[in-house]
Amino acid sequence: MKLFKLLLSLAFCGALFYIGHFGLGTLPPLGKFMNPYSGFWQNETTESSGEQLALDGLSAAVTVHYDAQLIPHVFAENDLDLYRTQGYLTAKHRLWQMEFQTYAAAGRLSEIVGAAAIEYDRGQRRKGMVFGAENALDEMLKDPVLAARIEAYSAGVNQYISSLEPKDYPVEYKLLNYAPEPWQPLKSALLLMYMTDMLAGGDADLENSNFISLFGKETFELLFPEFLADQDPVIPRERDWSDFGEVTVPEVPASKSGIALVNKTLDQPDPDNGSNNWAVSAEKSLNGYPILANDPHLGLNLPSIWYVMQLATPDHNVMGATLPGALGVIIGFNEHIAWGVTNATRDVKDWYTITFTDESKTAYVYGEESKPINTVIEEIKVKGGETYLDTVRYTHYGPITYDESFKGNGRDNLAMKWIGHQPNSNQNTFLKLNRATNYDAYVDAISTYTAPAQNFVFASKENDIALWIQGKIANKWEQQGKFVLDGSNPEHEWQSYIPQPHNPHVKNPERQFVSSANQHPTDEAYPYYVYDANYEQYRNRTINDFFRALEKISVEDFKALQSNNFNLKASEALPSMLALLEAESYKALGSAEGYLKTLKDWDYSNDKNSLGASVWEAWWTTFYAMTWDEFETSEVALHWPDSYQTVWLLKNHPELDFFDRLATAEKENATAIVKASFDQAVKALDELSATGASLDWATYKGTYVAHLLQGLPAFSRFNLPVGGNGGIVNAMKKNHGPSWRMIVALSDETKALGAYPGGQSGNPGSKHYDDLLDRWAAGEYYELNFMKASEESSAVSFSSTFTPKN
Amino acid sequence: MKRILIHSVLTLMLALILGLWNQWYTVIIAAGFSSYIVKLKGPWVFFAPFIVIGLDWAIEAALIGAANDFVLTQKIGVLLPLNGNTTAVIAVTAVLGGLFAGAGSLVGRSLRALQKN
Repeated sequence: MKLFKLLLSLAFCGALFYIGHFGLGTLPPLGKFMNPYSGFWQNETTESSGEQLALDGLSAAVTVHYDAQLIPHVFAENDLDLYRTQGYLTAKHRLWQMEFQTYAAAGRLSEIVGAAAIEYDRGQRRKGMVFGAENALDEMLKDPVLAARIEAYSAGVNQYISSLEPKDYPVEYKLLNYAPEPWQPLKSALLLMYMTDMLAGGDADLENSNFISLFGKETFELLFPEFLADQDPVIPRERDWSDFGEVTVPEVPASKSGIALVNKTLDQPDPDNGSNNWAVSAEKSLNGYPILANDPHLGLNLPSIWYVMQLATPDHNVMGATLPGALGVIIGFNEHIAWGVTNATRDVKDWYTITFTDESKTAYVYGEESKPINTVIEEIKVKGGETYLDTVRYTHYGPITYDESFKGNGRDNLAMKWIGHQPNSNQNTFLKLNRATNYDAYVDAISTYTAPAQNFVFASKENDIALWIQGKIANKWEQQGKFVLDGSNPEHEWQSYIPQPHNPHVKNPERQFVSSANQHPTDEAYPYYVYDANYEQYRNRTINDFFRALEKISVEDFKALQSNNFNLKASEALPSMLALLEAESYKALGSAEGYLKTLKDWDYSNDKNSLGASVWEAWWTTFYAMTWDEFETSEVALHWPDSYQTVWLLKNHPELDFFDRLATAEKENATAIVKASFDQAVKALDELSATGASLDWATYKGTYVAHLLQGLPAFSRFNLPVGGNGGIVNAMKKNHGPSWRMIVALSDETKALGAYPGGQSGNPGSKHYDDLLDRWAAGEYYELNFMKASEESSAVSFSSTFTPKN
Repeated sequence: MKRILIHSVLTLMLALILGLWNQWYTVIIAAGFSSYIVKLKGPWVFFAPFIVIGLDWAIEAALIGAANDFVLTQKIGVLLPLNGNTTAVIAVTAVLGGLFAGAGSLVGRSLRALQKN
């Protein structure tokens, strides 16, 4: 009996221990996680004091001043100490995020979250994310100066990691019951690949091929034109390209590729990953100095994608937004210049059909010969499960992403050729920009940059403003890579690249401002072939119209423009839609009458309190979905037409077959869809209203900032009171928008403003986790305290000192 | 009553000392060892360490939370889910600490009984 009692108590205690130490199902390990001595309670803390610490490898003392926003201002005596400290501080405030993002990039999420992530991880491996990062790192390490900096950063991160006991781990590690691993320089390269994938990882080539197979080339050209007449390209139309002289563009080969329909492609990055940037010259500036602004539009996440820092040595002093995991400042300013980036969208990823020479799949046909396959067995470790093995075959183009075992059409082998895989030293571009003092140094910094191609806006105290569209871009024949290519035909190769000096650029234009908003880079006169499936059509015109309308521009105007809620799309579409509705002798009954009046009175502004914006968005999204129902129900992958072309078709081709709804027996046209979508939108609004929900735009939209870990609600922020939307300069969508807002006035004393939706600390237990968010939501800014030297100033809340370790 | 008091003090002291290792399960060891040394009877075998460790965890948690305005506690209250209720999060912390200690104590008591046979 006593033995039985012992066994019973041991079983009870053992079961509790198991749950306490390992967790159960989705439950975290309750003992580890909940105990106050080493569990989450240890993360219930806000950064409020500095530290005095000896850091390995430092050669001189480093002073770090924190201001009220927990922005570190780092003053080091040399570059290596600077980047070592940057690594240490970034890890101190963002360790979990920086590691998680590199796990995601490398296709290792299954190690953290289990089998649910296997398909995601396979996709990352089959995209060649690590392959690209290794190529980049190899290239970076060839430069001894850069290599030493990357090593110093990595060592700084590791010094922080090694200082941690499990009780100090960020709370996410405790929740998921794992531990940080040592940082490596490769992880910095992986982080840059993560950004490249986010910004240059999308394409529509397979979808385009599918569309042509289903609907024909003529319809394709109608729905997806390459140039739109009324667009305002990044480089002003006045730009004359004759200075390029005679340029060589490859001949279009006779043969094209054929392929069976592709059912499933990889998830595409959000097509609205983009940004606004602009600069005005001293002449157009109200106060006589250049002003520059940038707001990159990305997924809204906590911890924020950006981490703001000032990084200074006796030789340079720079401040702005850094990316946790990468060195230096990515978007910012120094004592001489300011710069910003928007995504210069371009089709830099192409697909090649691969024909193996035999069933061994060790070689593939290429011209009259064959080329060898490099087979890589990817080992995907799975938390709580067996390691998953995936065979990925590499061609000279790149990895065969789609084959019989992964998405695609279950038959054809499709290899990816992607600029993201190429050796590069893009990290160096940013470190050079951090130190640039004038236009020439800016051009030198960006000239080797490959991907993701960016519109680098620039302004200097020498009163230069400029914008270069910089990336390594293949010099393609007309429509090359817009559709699937034949991997066995050498003529289908990327044959050369556009010479870097021929990348579109403009310096000190007559109009006295430069701007970009992810629109088409040039007009039709640019002598090289330019294509992308996702050029922006609205923000660019709103921004440029704004500048043209004002003779002089101030910082206040910049603020107003970043928060500008004018909905150009609605202004172009709504009058036509209302006219079609009324042409049908539409009788608005009940609430519809009120909504109709609201729309007629609406000022096309998606302000947070606007009812008109909610009614419009409800109507438009319904109309868009009804129009393109063929795309929704298609069993093969298709790229959807954009809003601009949808509006154009509504006005110019109202009898287009696509306006017919598949779900109904009768044949509809645009007018019928306008009416049906309005009725449906009214019904949806009424149903929502009946629940007691407010229909003001901010509530209706429900913008939220989601924690990186699958939007964990506890660590996210919901229902932010913000206006704007996609296609609006204030590009605040439901979970996507201005992830960093910066305005820099290049007066004698550089003045800069910044705001972002989050906070400096990655710890959900810190008051600095999301303390910048509310002012960002209100369209307000913090003054960025650009300190001149390491001396204390009134802006300093507390300081840390790092000294060399003997 | 005296035994209960001695047991409780011993459990708490051991828990605090072993706690320096920062391993949560030291409360199981502390309570188990105490019950092996100090004989308790009936429900007290479970409830004496349940109460003392439960209180220890609750007080420590409350102090930590209060020092930071329960910023994270409230979020964990959403996560668990306890509707963001910070008191409930402290209560769950206390109950868990108590359960672990109580379970350890039962093992210690059973071992003692077996060996004294």
